[in-house]
Amino acid sequence: MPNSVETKTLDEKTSPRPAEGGSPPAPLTERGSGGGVVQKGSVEIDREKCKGCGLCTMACARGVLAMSEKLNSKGYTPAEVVKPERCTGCKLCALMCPDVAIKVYKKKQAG
Amino acid sequence: MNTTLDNELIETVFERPRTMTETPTHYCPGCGHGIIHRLVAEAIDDLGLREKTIAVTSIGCSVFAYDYFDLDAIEAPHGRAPAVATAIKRCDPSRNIFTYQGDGDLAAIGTAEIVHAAARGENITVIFVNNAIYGMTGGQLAPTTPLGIRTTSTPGGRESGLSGYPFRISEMLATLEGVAYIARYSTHSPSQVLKAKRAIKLAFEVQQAKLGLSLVEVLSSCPINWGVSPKDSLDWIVKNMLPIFPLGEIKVTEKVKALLGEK
Amino acid sequence: MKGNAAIAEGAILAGCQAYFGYPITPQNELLEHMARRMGEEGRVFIQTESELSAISMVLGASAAGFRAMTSTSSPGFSLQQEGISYMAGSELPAVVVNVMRGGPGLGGIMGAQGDYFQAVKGGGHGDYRVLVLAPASVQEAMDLTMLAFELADKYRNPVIVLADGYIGQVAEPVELRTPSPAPPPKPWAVTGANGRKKNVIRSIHIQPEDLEKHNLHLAQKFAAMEAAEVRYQGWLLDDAELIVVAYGSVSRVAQTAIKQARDNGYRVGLLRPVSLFPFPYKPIEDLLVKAKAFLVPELSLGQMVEDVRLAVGKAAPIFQVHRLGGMVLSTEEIYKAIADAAREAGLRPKNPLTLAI
Repeated sequence: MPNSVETKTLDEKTSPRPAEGGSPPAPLTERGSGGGVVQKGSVEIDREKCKGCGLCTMACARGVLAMSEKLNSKGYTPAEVVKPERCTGCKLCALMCPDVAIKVYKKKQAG
Repeated sequence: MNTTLDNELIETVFERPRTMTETPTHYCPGCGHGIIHRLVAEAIDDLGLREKTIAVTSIGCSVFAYDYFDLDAIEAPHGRAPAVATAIKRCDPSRNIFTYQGDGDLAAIGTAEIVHAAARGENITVIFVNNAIYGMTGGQLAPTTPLGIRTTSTPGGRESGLSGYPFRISEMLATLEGVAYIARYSTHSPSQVLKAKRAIKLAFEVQQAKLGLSLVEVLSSCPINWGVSPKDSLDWIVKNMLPIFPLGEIKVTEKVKALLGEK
Repeated sequence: MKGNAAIAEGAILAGCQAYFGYPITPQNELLEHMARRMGEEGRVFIQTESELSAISMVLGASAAGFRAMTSTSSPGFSLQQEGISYMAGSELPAVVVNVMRGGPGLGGIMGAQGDYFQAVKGGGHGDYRVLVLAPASVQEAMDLTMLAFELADKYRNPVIVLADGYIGQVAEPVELRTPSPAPPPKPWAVTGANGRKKNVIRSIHIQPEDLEKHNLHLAQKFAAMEAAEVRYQGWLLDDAELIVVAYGSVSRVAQTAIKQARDNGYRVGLLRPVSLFPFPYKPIEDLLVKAKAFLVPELSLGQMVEDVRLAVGKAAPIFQVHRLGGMVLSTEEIYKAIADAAREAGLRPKNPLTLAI
């Protein structure tokens, strides 16, 4: 029976680039005109809970996340934040994470 | 929770739901159980049902599910969760009861129990995790395994002559009057995950409104036993499962529609 | 009332809050009685789709802190072994009534005693024991059912009421007992984690070290049962040289045969186990001071006789007499067995007249 198939095909926008240590919430900065990256959200990945399944990197449409090359204590290579400034706090990564390893923050709207 | 950083207020928009424990799960990387557990926990929290809820766990990879929920829980023998749940609900109808079952538990050994709980219209919620294979025991044939798929008990690929056809138990159950709500969603994309969450929440609301049996089937990945990576397992669901298990609402009675209308 | 009805009424008097059962001869009246009475009492009754789901329903109700029971006959009892094992492992109270019929397999529908091994030695998997109570009258069927609920809660373990089809079907006058007091609170039950830490009831302990500890803990419970719950009835045992060991309906027939035998000078008595687990080994052993022989009549090929043998050893000969397939042992058959056993054991009947000289 045909149905509306939900397929998610995303290009890998960034090649994995290892960052040092874990992924604490990045400061939310707003750059002004003439360059214009407005970071609206940020994510925090629990390195020890992450099993390196990679679903978050697939879900993220903005290349914020990539797989680390550093093992955690269980032998997994967890995901990490590589482009924090591009995070919009959309939560797609956290929705797909089977290990509840991702916390998502968003800049509060004014008013 | 608001944290102030850089003089700006930020809020947490996603974190572990209250009804889930901190315990790291034993599930394989990319296993759908982790997602589905979280959706059940979120639904329970959204509805404020944690202290009234009793989980009836079953046999399969999710046998330790009670370690991941901060809920009272009872382990049921293989396939018998709907019977166990029936008894608890009948004895204390004020409780919120759900079973959490895989495809072997529900559609193989437990077929009689789910059919009759549904036929009796028990006010319980059934979370049916369909990954088209037997995960716990190492990847054998399941009632939901598509034709042609290799499993450890169908090494040459499932053949109908030898092992029959996969069947849609949700559609079968939908024919029973005691069933109020059945829906099937998936975990292969964020939008499906959101739909599954909404369906699970509605299922609990159906129980609270005493409208009959509610069941949400969620298609789930089993990367290890399918022999694919977690990312490829999402495509596996789309390619192999969606043609047999169509997504969407399977049964929504008028009373459930009315419930939706009131929201 | 019939034994089946007495068991049902006894359960209701004991505060049974939920009954789950499937029709099977010869205990259908029990289910039907419950269908009517549980409804009247506002309690839970479900006719289930099978004995398999019935025992799982008992498991669920029990886990939620309610007094629950099921009843069945031999083929259904086989299906319920799964649930009994799970409940023993999960430490859940339950009352399971088996009104025995001829077997094995579909067998017959008349009474028999062929499930002794299954009930007493454990028909389910794993190291567990269950208390087994064997009524020999309709009154006792009611009383032991009430006791079963109490013991089930006391030990957090299934208790089996093992009747044979004849006890289930016979009708005798019965005194309705006063309702049992409410059971003690069950803080371990799954009722919703309301302002407390969650309760998890399960029987899986995946680490062998943990499972061993758990099994040893259960073993302590079973030892406590053995120490405290032996029940039996002795009749004309003081000077008995030949002891008849019989339970259930057979013990009633045996009593008549024993009376006749006594009239003819045989010094014979009856030891009637009421608890089959724990079995009255010591009371039987104690009889060896005077007893020279034992006779074990059963409606089976001989199952309880093995427990008698454990108590007696080689100290005295053990004779048996059987009927099978739902046939009853008659007083004549038991009398003849008494006479044969006495002769074989060299026990001569004393003429009552001679004793007077």
